[in-house]
Amino acid sequence: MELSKNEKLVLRALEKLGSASPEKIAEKAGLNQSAVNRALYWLLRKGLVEIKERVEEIAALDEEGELYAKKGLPERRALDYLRSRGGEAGISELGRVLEKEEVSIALGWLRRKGLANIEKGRLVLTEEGRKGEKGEDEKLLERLTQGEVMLSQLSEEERKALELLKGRKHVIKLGEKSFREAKLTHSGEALVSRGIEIADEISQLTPGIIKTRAWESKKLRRYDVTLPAPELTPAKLHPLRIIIDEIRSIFLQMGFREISGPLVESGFWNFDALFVPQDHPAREMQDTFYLETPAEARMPEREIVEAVKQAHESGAGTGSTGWGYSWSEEVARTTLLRTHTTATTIRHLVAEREPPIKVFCVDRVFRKERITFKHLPEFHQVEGIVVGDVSFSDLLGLLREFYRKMGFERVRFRPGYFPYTEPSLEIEVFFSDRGKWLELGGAGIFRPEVTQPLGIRHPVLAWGLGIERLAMLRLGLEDIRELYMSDISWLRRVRVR
Amino acid sequence: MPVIKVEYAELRRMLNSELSDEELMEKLPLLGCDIEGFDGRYLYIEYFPNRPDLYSVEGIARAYRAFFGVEPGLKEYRAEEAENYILVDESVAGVRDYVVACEVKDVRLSDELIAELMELQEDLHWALGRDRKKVSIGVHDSSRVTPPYRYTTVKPEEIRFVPLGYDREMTPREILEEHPKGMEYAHIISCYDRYPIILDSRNNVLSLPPIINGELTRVTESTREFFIDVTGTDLKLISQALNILTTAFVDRGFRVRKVEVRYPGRSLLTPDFSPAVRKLRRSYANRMLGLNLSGEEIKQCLERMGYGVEVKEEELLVKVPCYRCDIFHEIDLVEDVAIGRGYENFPEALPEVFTTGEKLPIEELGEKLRMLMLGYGITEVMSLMLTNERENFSHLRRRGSAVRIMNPISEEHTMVRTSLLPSLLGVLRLNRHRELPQRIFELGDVVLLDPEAETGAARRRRLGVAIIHAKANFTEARALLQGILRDLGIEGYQVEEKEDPAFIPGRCATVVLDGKEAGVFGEIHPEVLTNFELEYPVTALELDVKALGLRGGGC
Repeated sequence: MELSKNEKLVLRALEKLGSASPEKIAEKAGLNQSAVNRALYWLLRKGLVEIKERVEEIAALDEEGELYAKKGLPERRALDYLRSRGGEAGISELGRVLEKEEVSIALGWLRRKGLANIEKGRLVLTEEGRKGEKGEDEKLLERLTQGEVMLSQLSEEERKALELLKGRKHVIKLGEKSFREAKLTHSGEALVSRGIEIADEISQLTPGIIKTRAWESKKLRRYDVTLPAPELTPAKLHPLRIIIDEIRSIFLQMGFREISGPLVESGFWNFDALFVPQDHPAREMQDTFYLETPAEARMPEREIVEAVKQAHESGAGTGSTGWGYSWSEEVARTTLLRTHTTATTIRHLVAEREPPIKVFCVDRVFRKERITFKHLPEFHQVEGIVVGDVSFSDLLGLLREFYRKMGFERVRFRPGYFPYTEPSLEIEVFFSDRGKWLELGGAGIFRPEVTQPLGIRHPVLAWGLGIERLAMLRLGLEDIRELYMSDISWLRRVRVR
Repeated sequence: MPVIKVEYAELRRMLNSELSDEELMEKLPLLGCDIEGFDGRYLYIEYFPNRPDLYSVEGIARAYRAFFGVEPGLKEYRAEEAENYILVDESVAGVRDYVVACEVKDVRLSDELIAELMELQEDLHWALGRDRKKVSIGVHDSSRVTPPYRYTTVKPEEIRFVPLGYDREMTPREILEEHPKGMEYAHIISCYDRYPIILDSRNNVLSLPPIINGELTRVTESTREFFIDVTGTDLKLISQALNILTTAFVDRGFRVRKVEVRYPGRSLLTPDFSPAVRKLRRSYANRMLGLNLSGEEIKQCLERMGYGVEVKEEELLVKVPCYRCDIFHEIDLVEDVAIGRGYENFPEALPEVFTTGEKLPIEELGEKLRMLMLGYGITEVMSLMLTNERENFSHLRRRGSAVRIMNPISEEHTMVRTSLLPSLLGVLRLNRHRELPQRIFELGDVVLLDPEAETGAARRRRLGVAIIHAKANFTEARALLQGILRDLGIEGYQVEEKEDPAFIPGRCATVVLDGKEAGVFGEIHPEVLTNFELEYPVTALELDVKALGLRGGGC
């Protein structure tokens, strides 16, 4: 077994001491205490020593005790006064050297200890009192000023003195304290009995050793390389960020351009432009955060507003019936926190219009949700669109490729429903570690009532998913809130993949 | 979205399909639904809001009989000729304009069926009726009343009747003020000085739509005939609701008889089960789907979805069932062609649209900043943008304006953050018992009011850093700032003293690029630390990323 020099010194010390505290070992081995503690730690791991905790009863000075230790016990001060007065004095005179409440204490103890008696109203010292020797209790008091003592180390007289002091209020504090003691194990003893050779070994290589080639004459100590080292944690990216960047990278690889748009949106871009009727449940107060400030948004150009109005009211010549109600521009001006990234997508489509368009957006959206382990009022959505001579078959192919790149080999498509896409679908992926299919995203082709009034003449394929859900599945989280708690000890240790 | 509770054995019986239980479970979602659960007896299925015709076991069975090929194509429904009428008074105009009605005979009910019927009614109120505002349905035991009926209005105190579930007469006003349903739906009609009401020929009250029926016509197990009224603000919607309800009755074996609805100057016979006819161009369907289907193949797909189809040369004439209310446009038929064909039966292709990928410049700069932060040993955190006045302003001894939410859900989230510092200090607070030092950064957005912006507010990307340990000080922030600017190749900036109540006076500075403040840094004020329950000094910085980009050659 490889042992360091310090470990060997500690073993030797223990051989002589038997069971001993680290302090004693340090003294014996001529090491400082932290070196002893380190050596003991390794010897313990190597099975050469065992460490026992010993609990000791201890006594220490309490408030009054501290005071008495400094000024002397009341009866001592009375005694000293009496001696200075030739051995007797009137009781009332004691007030000169004692606090009022101490007088009766002093009288009681002087008599109890047989140091003085009261004769005709005057206090007279006894033979014993005249000698004025220190009592055992006073000696103990003095000793305690040096620090607490273990009861097990007190002599018979000291124990009696302690009992006396305990009889006074707030003089003595009793307690327990645990002490560590190390001793050799059987294998430790066996090793020691074979003899320990302490050669001067080199552990840490230093510039000096290298320069002077001292290592040639000494031994470079062999380490136990199988032992673990202290934990190291790096500065890290947030796990959610890593997933966002991974998704961005997939889009970029597939030739998509990144876009972004306002977080504070108008009802117009968040809903109306997407053919969501103004009385749709999603637009109600319980689902969307509406804003007090800013109170109103500006509308885009007249033709766009007019076209959207027509689409809602009568289909705007798209061949659709429209929703058949009277559309209000005032409602469209309402400001809100966008509920989906589609608001940004549709803005972009209106600005760009002509194919080929392939863009994506990863960004925050807001829903009026109470915070629970499943829901947050804000989260990240990713959305991609393709505009061109494209079809539903292309959408399915694209999705298969996109999800394959995310690491999902098994993907299936189910009919779905979104107010602004037709056909619509839901994407389900197979999570092999959970052994089941889970919904992870939606997709579709934008409805003609959305695209045509805005002057977009080609089919728009669109799909999106919520990133937090994916992150929870990847990271094995059961509570979505953990993603935004930023618990540093979690962040320091979370795996990056 | 409504979850429909369906007795599995009943569904199987009505489906009359040879599929095994396993196959059936596997195939149900292929029509568009999520199976929420199965407890051995009942299936819980969530259908989409555009298909209220699937909110009853009859509707579900009908759809899957066609889908599984048991009974493909358009199912023809017939209603018997009208014997009774309902007279519509002109005073309903502007209050609740429309009513349609019908009579149902040979009714056989169980308690369970009554419960199902009530659930279907409520689901229709939700999906089509916008919670009764646009559509509300009343189902009555018609043996207790005498036709013809009248749809008219009354003053709030003009009439008294016993509302459902009560044993005493009340005026409409009392119902709106005291009855639980009255209080729930009062907002729909309380703004009018006359309320809609349906009466029989002897002035018995059938219902006070859309609030409550009368106790008189309560439906029980012994009910053998119904009178049904559907009132609302949109004639098309109430007709669809009536069709969904009554075709389900026909499927259950009840007889449905029309009622004549006499509006001033015109009269309707309802329900009208005749299908709408729509054209579908074969080329359009194929182009949208990326397929090359023949007219006959499209026909088969649509028949699986319950349509009647006649194939013309390049066109198909499609009869849309009277209970479908989601067919606005040709594209809606195209989707049903796709579902009828099965999403799993498409030749998946990759689009031939050539483009090059491109990052947003601000994101690209962000990637570089993150790399630097990690190099400086600073860990990334992410926090919510929603916050409140106290956290965002008062705790930092700051004041200001912000994007404020009109309908917040809690006191914690009433506005959008205007600075990253509160978020960072919040993270430190959560971690106050964790090992020090802690060095964190967030690269995220704040939103500021901006009258110039189209929506009145603008988002700004910021880099925020906070460092906490026993000796955190100004120099640390200053050194970090210098490092970042040097690494980005930004020269010729000024650092000027700044007064920001969040920082210790004389230990706070701003960095000025081209005459504009691009950020603030320094030692956080001890009072701010106390506000965030922190007991160690914090040094922090917050920079505007766009300003850095303009100078760093990024964006």
